[in-house]
Amino acid sequence: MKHWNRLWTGGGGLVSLAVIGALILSGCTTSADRDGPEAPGASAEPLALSGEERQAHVESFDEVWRIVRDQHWDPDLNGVDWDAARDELRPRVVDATTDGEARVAMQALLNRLGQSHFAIIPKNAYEEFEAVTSEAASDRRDKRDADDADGVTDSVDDDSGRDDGWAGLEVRQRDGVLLVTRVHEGSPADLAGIRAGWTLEEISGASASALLSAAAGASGVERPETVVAMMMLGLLNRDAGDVLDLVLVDGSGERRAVELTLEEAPGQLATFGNLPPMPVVIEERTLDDGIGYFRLNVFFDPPRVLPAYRSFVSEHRDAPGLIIDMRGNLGGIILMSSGMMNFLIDESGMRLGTMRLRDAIQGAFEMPIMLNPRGVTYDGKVAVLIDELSISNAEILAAGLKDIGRARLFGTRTAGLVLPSTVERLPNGDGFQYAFASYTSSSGEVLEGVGVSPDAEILESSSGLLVGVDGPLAAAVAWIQNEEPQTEGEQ
Amino acid sequence: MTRSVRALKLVVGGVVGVLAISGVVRHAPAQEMAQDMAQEAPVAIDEKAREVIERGIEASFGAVAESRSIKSLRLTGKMAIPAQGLEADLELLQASGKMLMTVTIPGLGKLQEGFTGKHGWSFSELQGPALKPPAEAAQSREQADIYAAVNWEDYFSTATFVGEETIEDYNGDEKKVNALSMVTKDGERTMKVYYDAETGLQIRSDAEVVIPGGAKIPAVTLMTDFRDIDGIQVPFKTKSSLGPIEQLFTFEKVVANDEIPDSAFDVPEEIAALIEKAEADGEG
Repeated sequence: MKHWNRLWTGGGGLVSLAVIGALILSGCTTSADRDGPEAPGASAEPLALSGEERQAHVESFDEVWRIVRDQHWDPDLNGVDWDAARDELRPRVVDATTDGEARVAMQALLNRLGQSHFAIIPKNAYEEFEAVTSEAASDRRDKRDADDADGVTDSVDDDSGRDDGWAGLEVRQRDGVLLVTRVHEGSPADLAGIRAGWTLEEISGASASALLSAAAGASGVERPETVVAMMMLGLLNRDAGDVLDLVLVDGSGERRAVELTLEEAPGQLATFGNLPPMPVVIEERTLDDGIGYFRLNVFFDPPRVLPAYRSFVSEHRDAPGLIIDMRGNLGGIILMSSGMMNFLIDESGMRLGTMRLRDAIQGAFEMPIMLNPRGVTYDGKVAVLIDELSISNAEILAAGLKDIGRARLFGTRTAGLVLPSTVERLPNGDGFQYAFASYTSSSGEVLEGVGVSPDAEILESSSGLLVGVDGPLAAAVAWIQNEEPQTEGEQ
Repeated sequence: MTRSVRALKLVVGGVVGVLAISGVVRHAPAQEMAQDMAQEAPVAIDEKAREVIERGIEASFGAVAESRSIKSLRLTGKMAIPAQGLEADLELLQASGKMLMTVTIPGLGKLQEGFTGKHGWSFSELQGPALKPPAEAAQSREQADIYAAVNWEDYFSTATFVGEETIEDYNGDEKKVNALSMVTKDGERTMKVYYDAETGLQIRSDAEVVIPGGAKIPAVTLMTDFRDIDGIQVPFKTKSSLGPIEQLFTFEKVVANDEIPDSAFDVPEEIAALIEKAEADGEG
C-alpha cells in the first residue's frame, strides 16, 4: 500500500489522512487541486474513461454536492453560492477524460468552502489495501488449512504484503530552508548517514527552493509551513523499494548526494470504517531523570494504542513529568483524545470541547465531549510537543490539555485544521471525507484556521540538532526538571 | 407507549453511547429521582392520546401486559453506520430492572452502558468511566424496565393527541399514523411519537435525547420488522438519525426468559469505585 503518496498524489495535490470515526473523527484534509507542486514521479499515463466510469464520476459529484448542502453545520455553507459552484464545476466532470480530471473538479468544488476536512480520497487508496488484505486472508486460510493438517496454530500477520515505504527522516521548513529535524534510528536515512540538522536541497530532481515557493503560493486553508511538511511527508514516504535521489548539505556545509532505497514503513496497519488504512506508530521510552516520553503518529487503532498508553502512564506514575509528542501527528478518532486525557485528570465534569452540528429537521444543536478521570491517574507535570504538522485531533488534545491547565505546550503553532469529519464511499469508489460539525475547545476557542499556540515557542535549529539537541524536547525536559509550576497561574 | 418505544430508546441510548459519552459523578440515584418526579409532576393525558397509547400497548404486549410473564430479554444483533462503512456487534440484556448494553466496534473497541437498578453508568477505554447524572440516569432506568412501555405513566406527565398524519415509514413508504406529543415527568425531554393507524404499533419517534454534559440532541427513530417473541412484538430493525448521522440496528436474535445471572450486570471495577464514592458522599 502507498498510503502517504497515494493520498498526496491522488488528486494532484496535498493530502493527509485523518479520520474520524464513526463517530467522531478529526484528521487532516486534502486539497486535490491546490496549487502545490506535483510530486516527482507521481504522474501516470492517464486512461480514457468509459461512459460508465464517467457517469459514476458525475453521480459522485452530485452526491458530494448534495451531502455538503444537507450535512454542513452552517446552512449558509460558509457564504459560498453552492448552486453556482455546481453549475460551474459539474461540466468539468461531465467532460472529464481521466479519473484525475474528475477528481480535481470535485476537489475544486470542495475547496470553495475554504475549510479543512473536505477531500476526495482516490479509490486506489482502498483497492490496494483490499487486495492485500484479501490476499492475506487467503494466505491465512491456506496456512490455517495446512496448519490444521500439521497440528500447528500460528497465524500470518495481517500486514503481510505491505509495500508502503519510508525514508525515516522528517523535514520541516525552518529559517527558509528544508531542515532535517529527525532521523529515525535504523531507517534507510540513518543507514545512509543522514543526520538531523542537515538541510535538504533536492529531492528526486525537485529543488528545495521550488518546493518552498510552491508551498508559499498555495491557496488553501493550510499554512505554508504545514503545506511544506505535508509535501515532505508525501515525497519521502513512497513505495517500499522506490529509490529517492536526495541532495543535502551536512553540518560542515558540504553538499552530499544520497541515494535512498525506501524500506517498509514501521507501524501496524489499522483500518476504521471507510477510512484508508493507516500505519500506527507508538514510541514510548523513559528519558533522563525518569521522564516519560510518548509519541503517536496518528489517533487510530484505540484497542491497541489506549492500553499501551495506559501502561505507559502506569509505569511512569512516579515520574517527574510526562512528555506527549504530537509533532507530525495527523489526527484521527477524536475520542482517543479524551481517552488519553482521562489519565491526566482527577476531576469529573470537565469538557474536552464542543461540536456544533445541524439536524435537517430540528436545526442546530451542540454536542459536548466530556472527560472522565480514570481509576489511576497521573498528577505530575505534563508537556506536549507540537508543530505545524500537528493536525486536527493532535490539536484538539493539545488545546484540551492547555485549556484545563494540565499541560504546557512546547514547539510551534499547530496546523489549524480542526473540524470533525467522516468518510463515505462514492459511486465511483472514491472516498469522500467531509466535515459535519464545527469544533470549539473548552475555552471557547475556534481552532480551525487558527491552530494552537505553544506556551513556549521553540523551533528546532540546525546547530542544535547537529549536536543532538531537539529544541522543543530539551525545553520540555528542562521545564519538568526545574521547580516551575505546571502553569503560570499555579502556585 | 409500546414496547417498541422502549426499544427505540435503547437504540438511541446506544447511539449516544457511541458518540460522546459520560457524565459527572454527582447525581441522585435514578429510582429516588423517579419517585420524586412521580410525586411532583401532575399527569395531563387527553383521552384520545390515552386511547392511542393503550391500543399500542395491546398491539405490542397483548396479554403479557397483564401477566408480566417475560422476566428477561437478551437481544443480540448488529449496529451499523452504513455511510461510514461501520458495523458493530450489539448485545442488550434486561432483567430485574437492570440493563447492560455492549457495543463492540471493530477498530474502536468495546463500549458499555448499564443500569444497576440504582445507578446508570457508561464505560469504555475511549470515554472512561462515568456515572450518569439525573436526566441521563432516568433514561437508563427506563431502558432497563422491560415494561416501561406499559408503565408509561411512570415516565410521562403529558400526552397530547396531535392528529392523524401521513409519514414515511422505515422503508420509505407512506403510512397513516396517529401522532402524539409527550413530555417526561422531569420535563427534560419532549417527543413526538407516531402509531401506525392500521396496526396500532409505534413506528416512529422524534425525540430529544439527553447526552453527557447535559446537552439535548434531536433523534428520529423508525422501527419495522415486528416479530412475535413470547407474546410481545419486537421491532427487529430500527433506524435512528442523530443529526447527520444515521445508524441501523438489526436484532438477529431475541430471547425472552433466557437465564441471565445477576453477575451479568456486574459493573467494571472503575464504575464500582465511582458508585462506592458516590454512596459514601451520601448520593446513593
